[in-house]
Amino acid sequence: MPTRDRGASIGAIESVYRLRFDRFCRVAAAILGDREAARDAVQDAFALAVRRRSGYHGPAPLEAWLWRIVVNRARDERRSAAARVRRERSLAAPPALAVELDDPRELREALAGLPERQRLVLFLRVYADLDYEAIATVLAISPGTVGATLNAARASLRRTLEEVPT
Amino acid sequence: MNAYELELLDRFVPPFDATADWTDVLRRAGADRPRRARRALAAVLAAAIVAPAAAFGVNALLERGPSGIGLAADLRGAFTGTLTLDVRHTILARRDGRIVIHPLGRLGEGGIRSRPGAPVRWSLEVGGSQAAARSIAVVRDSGRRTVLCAPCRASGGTGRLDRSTLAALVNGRAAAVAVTGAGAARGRLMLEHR
Repeated sequence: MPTRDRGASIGAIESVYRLRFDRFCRVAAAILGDREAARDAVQDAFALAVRRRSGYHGPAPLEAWLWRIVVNRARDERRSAAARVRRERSLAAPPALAVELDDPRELREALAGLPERQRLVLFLRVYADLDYEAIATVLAISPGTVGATLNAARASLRRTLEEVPT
Repeated sequence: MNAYELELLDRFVPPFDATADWTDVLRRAGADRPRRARRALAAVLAAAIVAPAAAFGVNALLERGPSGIGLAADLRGAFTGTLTLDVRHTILARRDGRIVIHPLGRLGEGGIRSRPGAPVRWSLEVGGSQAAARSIAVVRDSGRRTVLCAPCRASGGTGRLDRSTLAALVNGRAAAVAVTGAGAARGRLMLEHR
């Protein structure tokens, strides 16, 4: 990926954005549970990356640096949304973060029940197709922890899915 | 991860049909124009704020200058009332048949900077008089909700709306929902041409 000696070029960031847009959105949606908010978070994250592009120094791949920004932006938005939901409890209308997707309740509950790190590692592996090194960079953990976390997430998910009628 | 699990995960978050919009990213980053061009644009916008847009031949509405734009919703439901919003520090323009909104920062060395949101002042009337509510929220047609107050301690107050909510507001794609002791009432927020 072409980058300047110091910082990333806008063109390089744009290339990753165009190549992986769908994956960024899906991971953000998995974090946020809201597709429109996910797209908004991805747009905001890349705007932030453009503004802070001089802060990229490697040696991690540019894509991993961008993934970290997207994941952090989505997590920030989820925290803000959770705070909003808490404030809205007195409202008569349904909660804003209701998942509108046609998915099995059991799976949703299983995913929602995973610890955040397990859920993030799983989504980054499945949707972003990142390897252990890249996931470790995104989440600022060791590759060994990535593997252990992924195994734990899969085991937990599998236990639940085995109870899902097919 | 077997195929069944992958299929289920795919159903959890289906592929997006939205297209990538790099222009929007650059606009949010404030990096869609070279610095010199931004300064020139800032000078034009600064002039536009203090004078009618038509005088400059700009294809812009500029409903309000820095003092804000007005929106109102006629609330119907458990009660009838009116919610008015005054959005500050924004400029409206028409592009491709829709209205775009530009929340603006302060004039500074770098000129006017686009911002991710804008302050808003709100006021609620019920039955022709000022009233406090249990909660007031702006709800976009997409279902996304921004709470202005909950609980509300007065008939008016201030808050902040992000850019996407502001865009929905000025294009008639958002409603206001107020809940009082009598129940909930809802109304679409419309631009006021005062």
